Amino acid sequence: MFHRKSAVLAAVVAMFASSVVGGTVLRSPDATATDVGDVATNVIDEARKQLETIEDVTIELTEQPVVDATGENLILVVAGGAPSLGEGQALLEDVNAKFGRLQGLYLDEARHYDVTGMLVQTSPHSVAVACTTAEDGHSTFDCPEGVESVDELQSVQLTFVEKEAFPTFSLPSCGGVGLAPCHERYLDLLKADLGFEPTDWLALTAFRTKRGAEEFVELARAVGVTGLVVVQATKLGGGDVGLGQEPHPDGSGPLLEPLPDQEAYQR
Amino acid sequence: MSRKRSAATLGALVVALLAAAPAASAWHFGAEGWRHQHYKYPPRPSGYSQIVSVFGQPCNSKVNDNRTNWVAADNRVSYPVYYHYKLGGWGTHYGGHNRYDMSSNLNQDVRGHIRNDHLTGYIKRGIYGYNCRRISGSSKYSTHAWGIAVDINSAYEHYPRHYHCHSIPSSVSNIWKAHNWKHGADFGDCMHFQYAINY
Repeated sequence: MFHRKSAVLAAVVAMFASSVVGGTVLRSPDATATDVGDVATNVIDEARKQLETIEDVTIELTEQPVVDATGENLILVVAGGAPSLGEGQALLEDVNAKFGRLQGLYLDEARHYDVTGMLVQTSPHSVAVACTTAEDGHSTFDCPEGVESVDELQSVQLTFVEKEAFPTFSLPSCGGVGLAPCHERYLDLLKADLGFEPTDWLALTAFRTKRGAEEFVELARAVGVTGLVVVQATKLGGGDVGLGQEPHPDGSGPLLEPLPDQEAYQR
Repeated sequence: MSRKRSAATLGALVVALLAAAPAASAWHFGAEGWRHQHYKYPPRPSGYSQIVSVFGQPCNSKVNDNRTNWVAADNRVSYPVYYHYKLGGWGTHYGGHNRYDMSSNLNQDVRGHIRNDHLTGYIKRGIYGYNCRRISGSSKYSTHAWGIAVDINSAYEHYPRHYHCHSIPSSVSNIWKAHNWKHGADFGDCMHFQYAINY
């Protein structure tokens, strides 16, 4: 009888110990970082006090004027075209839903653009990366269990192609996520001489630098917008196409004005 | 009697071993050496002016200094997430550089907790951080333009159609909140977490 009680007691103690070890020590390793946490808390408190002295009076700095950019050479990222305004608006709504609360694309008429070149994605879309496994059998990279490798998305790099040289280029299929531009969509949107159909409405956004366009294509790829076409074009009219949403090459903030040597940043 | 005592002792040992088994077999990231560090977190700004004061101008050259690759559990794609240098880089996991002016917030602590609590399976396709864009329908720059916002599961949490989260449980969002991140679910954007309030 005594030994039966001992057995039950031992089991209860073991379960309690299991809970403590598994639930506290391993699941909350913060316990070993108390000193670091205290120092960090002091730093945060001090910084919060400093912040309280800053007045929020410069909200007007977030207001940006709408720029129509007529006459500028720009890089257009085009997600699709439609033959009528109504269909164009439906296309725009569908595409922009994927960008969530971020500004997606704009609608403008194709006749406002004279295409002068093409930008082709020459970098690989993704590379396979091994999920390194430690000696104890656990992955050191947070791959799903049982997965040996994952596809790591690569930075998008666009290469400028002169209008005259473009017909000799072999474009990739639109099957790849985010490849820009891709064959089927190119044929949908552009004629053999790289001109848009003048009656079309385009879902597009514009940039003054190639890096701005590359960053947007990376975002579009992340949210699942595929089959983009990227061209260089002179803007002949029309309205807001989202300029001011790319970094200034000098690193100071957003690029809000045309650059003196803008075309150099597009090639 | 002696045989009974031996049997009882053996039984107790077996039960004790079985009870202790979960602790021995339950794997947590901490067992691999991960530790929550809470190192050098920047203060969480409130409003535009404080954001600029803490993190600089939108789209400046520091806003994408850090990069961490985040694997989506549903499509096995590793998404690059670029973010502000003050929000990470310190630590030994997920791309740490340990530069003196970096913190342990995103790469070491937020991601570490998610993995340590076995929640990586909830992180799904459509993951991104920095991008120099404005808020839709507004002239204000998004917090993404400072590299202080991360969206996850965007393929499942379209805005503004859904005002409650479909794929992100509170166990995941609570980890972000515990590390100074505001959840966009408060304004109908479930995929979104930002290191700022009142903006």
